[in-house]
Amino acid sequence: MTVFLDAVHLSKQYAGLIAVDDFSIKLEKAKIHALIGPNGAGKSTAIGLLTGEIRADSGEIDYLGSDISRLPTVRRAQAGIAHSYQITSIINEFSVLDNMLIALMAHAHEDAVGLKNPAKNKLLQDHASELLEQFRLSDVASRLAGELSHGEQGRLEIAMCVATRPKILLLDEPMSGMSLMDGEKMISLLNSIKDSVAILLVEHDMEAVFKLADKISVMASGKIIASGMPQSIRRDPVVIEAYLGHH
Amino acid sequence: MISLNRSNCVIIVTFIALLALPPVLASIGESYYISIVTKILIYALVGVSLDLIIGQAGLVSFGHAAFFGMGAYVCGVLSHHGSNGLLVFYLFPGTSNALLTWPIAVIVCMLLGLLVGIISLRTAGVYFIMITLALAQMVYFLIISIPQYGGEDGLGLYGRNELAGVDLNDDTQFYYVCLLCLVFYLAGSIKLTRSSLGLIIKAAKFNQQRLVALGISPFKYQLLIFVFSAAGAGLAGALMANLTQYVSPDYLHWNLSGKFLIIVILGGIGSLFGGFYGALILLGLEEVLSSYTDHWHFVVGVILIIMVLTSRQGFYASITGKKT
Amino acid sequence: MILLLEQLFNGLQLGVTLFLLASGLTLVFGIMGLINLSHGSLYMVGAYITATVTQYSGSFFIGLCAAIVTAAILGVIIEYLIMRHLYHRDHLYQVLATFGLILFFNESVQMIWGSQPLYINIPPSLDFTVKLFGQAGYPAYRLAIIALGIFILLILYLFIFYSKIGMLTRAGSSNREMVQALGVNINKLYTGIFAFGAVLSALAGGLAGPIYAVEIGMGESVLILAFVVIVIGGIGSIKGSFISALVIGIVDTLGRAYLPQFFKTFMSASDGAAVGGSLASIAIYLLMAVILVFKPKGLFTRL
Repeated sequence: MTVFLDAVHLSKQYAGLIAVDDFSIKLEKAKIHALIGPNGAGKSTAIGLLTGEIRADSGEIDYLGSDISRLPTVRRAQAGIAHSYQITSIINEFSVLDNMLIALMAHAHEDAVGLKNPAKNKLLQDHASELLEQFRLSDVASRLAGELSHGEQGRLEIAMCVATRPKILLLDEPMSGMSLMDGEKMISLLNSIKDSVAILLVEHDMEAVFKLADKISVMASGKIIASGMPQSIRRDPVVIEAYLGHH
Repeated sequence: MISLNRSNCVIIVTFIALLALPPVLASIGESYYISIVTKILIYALVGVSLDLIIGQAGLVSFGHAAFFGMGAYVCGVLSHHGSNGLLVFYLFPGTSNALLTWPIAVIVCMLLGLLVGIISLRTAGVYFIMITLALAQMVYFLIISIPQYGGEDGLGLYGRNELAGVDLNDDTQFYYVCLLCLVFYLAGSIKLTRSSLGLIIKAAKFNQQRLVALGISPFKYQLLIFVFSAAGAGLAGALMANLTQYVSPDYLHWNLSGKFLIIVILGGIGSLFGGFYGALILLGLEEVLSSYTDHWHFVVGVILIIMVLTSRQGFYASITGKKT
Repeated sequence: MILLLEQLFNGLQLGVTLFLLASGLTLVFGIMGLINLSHGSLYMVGAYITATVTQYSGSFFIGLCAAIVTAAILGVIIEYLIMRHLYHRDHLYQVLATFGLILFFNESVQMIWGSQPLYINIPPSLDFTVKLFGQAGYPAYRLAIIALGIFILLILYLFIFYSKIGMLTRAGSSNREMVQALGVNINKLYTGIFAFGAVLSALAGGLAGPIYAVEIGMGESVLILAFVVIVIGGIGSIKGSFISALVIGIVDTLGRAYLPQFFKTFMSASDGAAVGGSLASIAIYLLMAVILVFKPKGLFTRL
């Protein structure tokens, strides 16, 4: 097993309110680690701490052997930590293709950034259409991203993350609000990309979580209260009491 | 091949009209208007440069007069020293060779743009507006505090710059030089907006957070377009100094920065070509109104307020039917 | 030493004038999200009304009251006709519409009063000097301005933190719907705040009348200084604008008084005066730039 990211003892307080308390997590290559818990448990804050959008009060994040806990978001992203947002954060005013081009130029095609018209860069265009194909977005490539269906926007969001060739993929509720069919598409997509990345999946859809996750951690009130294989989590009395029981 | 849609037709017709204007004016004996149209071309150049950062990068600069005025002053100061033989800042001789003064004016403005950009681009929105305004005010006070260069009275030039093979003192030839500068700057601007750099700059305008999450820091790209914009305004300033053969602190004044914004709005944000139509309307309006009343600023103010409140699209959009 | 003290008080007095302008600007921006360039026009109108009414009535106090009433009425009218349609517009359009208002006001004032500057005498009741620390005299009028500025700061603080309207104002800036759900007419609240800012600006203009010339465009240079004040203080922060207004007032005044002298100590007299004078005229902008490098959002981010 290859550990890509090892976060230990992360904590964050807001004006005395504890949002995340002593949060530790390991993300391994080709594994999907699901993070579940009731609303307000601190899952989104935890993701923010990993991306750098929120600065931790204490704790350390080791990424591929170096401490990144002081790096700003943009540097972490450049190093390979990609974040897909809960509320999709694609560029609505751009076409789907332009969204992909931007994501590709972030890392995979940095050399394409210049005075050349990106429409005339064959390498870039080919790579973009390849990804659009993979994420089943080819038909809508020229549409404005803001006009896409919910499921398509969700896929574009993740496609943009994948385009940056990340080592870590932090997915904040990628399936929320999706139809059953779109959810199924997303599950098969996530399974198809997981080989080279370590994925942290925050998700409310328990069925999806148990289908996808290799490991599950349960959060409540800012703390991880249980962590383990899906089967053991399903039977854990503490988890059932704190979370699953309510469903 | 250029397709003949409505907006391209408008542009081509405008361009042909501008090319044909001097002989037409000469034949009807109204050559006086050439310098007015030249001024429109110069203001259009600033309009294009300002629209580049407002329309493409979403950054509202309220200090573009600083670059315009700086361009004019560099030109003025160099030619002032060129004729009195003293060294500029005790360092180097002045000159009135356009091939030297204009590039120097542009480079100085780019450096100023770099400085202003580095400070102001750390912020956005209303901070950006106020900081560009304040820094432009700083340039204004700095320049009028130098008595050698005329202080609040400005500085007269001894004739226009010299350009090999062209007589800039001839209004018609100077007009064509200005037109050429505008066309080149427009071409560069269009190239920039259609490039991958332009795409990233536009993405930062819509969703900066996402760009950062992808690992792209938009600062350097925004700085680049800001500096390019300052260069355009600086070139326009150098041309203006030549047109009027006089550099005035008014060229640096924040009122002029406001006027440049009006030009962009009148033309239509994000249209680039709109810069020309905006300058045409504003200066045309000034020319007409000022022949009727001394208080024409009153009318301009009222028109401006009504235009904003009724949220009209710019002029370019209404004649081309193109949304900007 | 005596001169330094005098300059320090001049700086304070300039700072207080700037604070009166900046507090209105920053309230209107912090609460309604509006950048108002024409705020300086009310400063100018306040000065003109004060000058004219003082001349006719013979009382500076009546002149000042007339300016305040005029500004309140103008504030309500401007807010109703123009500003409320701009709150949700892009800042660019706010800038343009209020720039249009500046042109409108400047030309209107010129049509009414002509282009010659007006002068106001210092009110006789305050036309004496006060000994500071047993030393040379300082004009009582300027001391009165400083005192008034501190008084207004206190009123603003009490208003924002202890009155019901103040609390609603603070809530309104973050939660429009909630305030409306409480049954408060937010439109009237905003009109009131805008008019209040207009009154403070006109008051500043009226008070400045006896010190500076009353002329067209007088509001604009001081408005840009007020922008520098709120950029440094943090937009929306009353405390920030008070502190930074005093700092700006003092730095500007002392810079103009002492920088030329300072440069003369190691340069030729004419060069020293020139360099010192240039530097003094841009000192506050340099200060702003340096602060922004370290604190891009200004010194204070809370009200």
